Amino acid sequence: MPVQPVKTFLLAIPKEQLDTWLNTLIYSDIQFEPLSPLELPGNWQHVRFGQHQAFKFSTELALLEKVLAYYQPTGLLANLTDTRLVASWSEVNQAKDSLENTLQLAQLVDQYQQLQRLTKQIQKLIKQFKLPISHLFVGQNLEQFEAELHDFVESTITTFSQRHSQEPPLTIQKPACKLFSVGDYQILVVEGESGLEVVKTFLQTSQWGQKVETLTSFIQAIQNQLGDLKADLITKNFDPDNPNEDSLKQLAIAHANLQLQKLVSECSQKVFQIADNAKILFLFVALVKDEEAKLKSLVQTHNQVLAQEFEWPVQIVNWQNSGDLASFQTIGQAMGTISPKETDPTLITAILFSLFFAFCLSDALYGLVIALATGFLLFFRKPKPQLKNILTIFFWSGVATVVYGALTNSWAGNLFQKTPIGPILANLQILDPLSLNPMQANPELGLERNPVLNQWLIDAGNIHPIAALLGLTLMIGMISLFIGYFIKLNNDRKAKNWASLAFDISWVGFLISLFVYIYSLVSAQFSSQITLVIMSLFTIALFIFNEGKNLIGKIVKGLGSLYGLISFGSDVLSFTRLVAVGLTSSIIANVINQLGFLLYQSVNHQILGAILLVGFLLVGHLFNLVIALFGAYINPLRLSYVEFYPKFFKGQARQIQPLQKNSFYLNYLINN
Amino acid sequence: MELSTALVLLGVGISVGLGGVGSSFGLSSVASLSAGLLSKEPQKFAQALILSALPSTQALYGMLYGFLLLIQTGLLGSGAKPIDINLGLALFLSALPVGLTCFGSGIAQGKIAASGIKILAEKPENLTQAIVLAALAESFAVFGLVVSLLILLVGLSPYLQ
Repeated sequence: MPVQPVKTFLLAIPKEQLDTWLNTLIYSDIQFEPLSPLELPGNWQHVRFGQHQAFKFSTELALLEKVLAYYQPTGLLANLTDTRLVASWSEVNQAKDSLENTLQLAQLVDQYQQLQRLTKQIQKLIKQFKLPISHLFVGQNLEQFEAELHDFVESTITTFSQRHSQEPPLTIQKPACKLFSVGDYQILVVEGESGLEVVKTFLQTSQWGQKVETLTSFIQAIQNQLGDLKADLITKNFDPDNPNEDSLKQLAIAHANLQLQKLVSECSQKVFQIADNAKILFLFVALVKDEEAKLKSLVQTHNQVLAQEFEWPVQIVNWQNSGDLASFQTIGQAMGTISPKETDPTLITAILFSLFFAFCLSDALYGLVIALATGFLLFFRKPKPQLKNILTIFFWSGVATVVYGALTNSWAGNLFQKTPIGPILANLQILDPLSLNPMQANPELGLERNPVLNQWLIDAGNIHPIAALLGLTLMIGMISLFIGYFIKLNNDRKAKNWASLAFDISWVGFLISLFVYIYSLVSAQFSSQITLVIMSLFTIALFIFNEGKNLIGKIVKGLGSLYGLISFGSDVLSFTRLVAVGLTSSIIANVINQLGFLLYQSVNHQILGAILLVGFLLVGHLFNLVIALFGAYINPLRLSYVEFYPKFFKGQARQIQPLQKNSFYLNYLINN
Repeated sequence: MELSTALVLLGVGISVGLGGVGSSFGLSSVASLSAGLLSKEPQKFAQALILSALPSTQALYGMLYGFLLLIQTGLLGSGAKPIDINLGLALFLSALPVGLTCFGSGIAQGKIAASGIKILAEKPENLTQAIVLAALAESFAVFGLVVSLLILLVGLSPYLQ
């Protein structure tokens, strides 16, 4: 079962035990998500409470009463005062225990590394300007400094002109300045000697003198700080410039602890109390796996903590497919999370998405390039989870494209048709959308179409290959939509929603009988009277089983459901995009080949022509591949989200988001 | 050179030109908004590029149809086929569905994708929603292209042997 319901618990924790309990919970191997009480129904209001964000119930007490009801018998709440309307974020602080020394070490090393980074940035900047270092100044909020400097120069010039009634000398011109940001600081670069004098005068006369310093003294200060830090670290047996294995491990432990402490404080943000001076604090948690026993045994070691199963109003589930299907699951997850009573559409999505992708990209060589590139990245580069999902989807879609492209004999368009392997590739062909001539494949090349395919097209009434392909995509569209309807039927059955099931059966029956009826009018295989009667029965069922409350409501809803036929038709028509987008990529590939060979013929030199040809083909096909990939990605997504998923997908559950304990440093510790 | 050839070239101009103009207008409205976003958050360049490039498919559809007209009439490739004035006019008219729909849908898709930039700014994890909403407008260009293709490749093909 890829979708599993998740158990939620309410924990009641004595206030003085909160720190130790949260630490115990985080450092245990239980995978859980702390739930925010704001997710509960009822009116919660944000208020300020000292240093913290706080919240309170404003109207609905029903849920609070429910929470309290669990604990009333134990007498734990006896100490609660009655000002229970105010609940606040707890004022949990970071744990202060034996970890303090290592945490301090980690912070010192961080500080050391930051300062080093700053020094490097500044040195890089100094190299960029070929000015002496005395022309550079450091400070914060230097935009204002520049503005004030400008005003200062203006006023100096005005006073000078008034006093001497002549133009001021060059020395009090406005200096040319440039600003650069380095970390938290800004660096001001002053060009020209006269400008430097002006800035220096301004610094002496204004209050900026204390805030802006020369780069020389700034670097000196950093170097001093770095020296102090290093000395401090070395007394703690840690050489920051040349760390040994042991000290690195020590550092990793410290960092892992820092991260876990962050999780503790994240957890503590979800803790709430019912009154200001309450002695019991509450926390909702959801457990990822069925780890009830682990939690219970952990609770028993803290004798005053209680855990009680609690029904969370939003259904929380763990939707997890294994292997490559997990990547395709992200397509559905963008729409919502399914509840355990819904059918998991991941496998069918994977098949349909790859199929649509293949139709849209439509070229075997392009598909091969995609599959090889993504396969290489997947197997040799170990991508991050999010990138891995997209690469996996592209890999399988690329494989599907190779198959489809081979069946339509499109290998970078008609690139290989003249080469010796051309006829071999042509033998694989069963569809011929690229042929612009209905009777013959590529007459100018004298190539005959696959005789089986040709016979089939002639049997079907001499239809054009592209018209045949359009028909095929309409069929695929209808099949996809019916798959959607059947998933909906299954969901109704699973949820025991009989009213909806009856209506959906009537709808599917109506559609099928309608098509059989239309077919029976054309061919004589079925009696059209009988199918007409069956269709009428299903139509009547549509009027009976809909959601209308009274007779008029039933009639209105029934007519509305008949209108659904139009949206069904437009949904099916929408699948013709598969042909249009596919033709775009393969015909433009053909055009690139054609232009390439024209270029080759127009150059008289054999070798030069060949080089030009290969270069042109590479650039052209790469360009076409990128553009085609774009269409091949968004159009299948659209078909999934707009046409396919709405037929059955509810997705109103919520996926559990457990605290992530597998960080870089923790992995480092485990692997060493 | 005959008048019918000129009519075919007018058709090529209609499909390539209107598609390109629609895409340019659409792309400019997304890209200029993207530039605004990138001034604050340059790390979102890749996503902004995807949204900005969405309205470029219309130009591609127009170009495809233009190429098809040239290939089918033999103006590109194997020597020009004889076309009478009526067929030339029909070929010109066949470019109208794809040209007009690509023009409109390119501009419309640009507007939708430009609004999608706001999704990218506030909730980048919901980028897919922005893309799907923009892809809605693409349908009409696709329908125009399908109808034009049917006219050219199925309806008019017996006259183009």
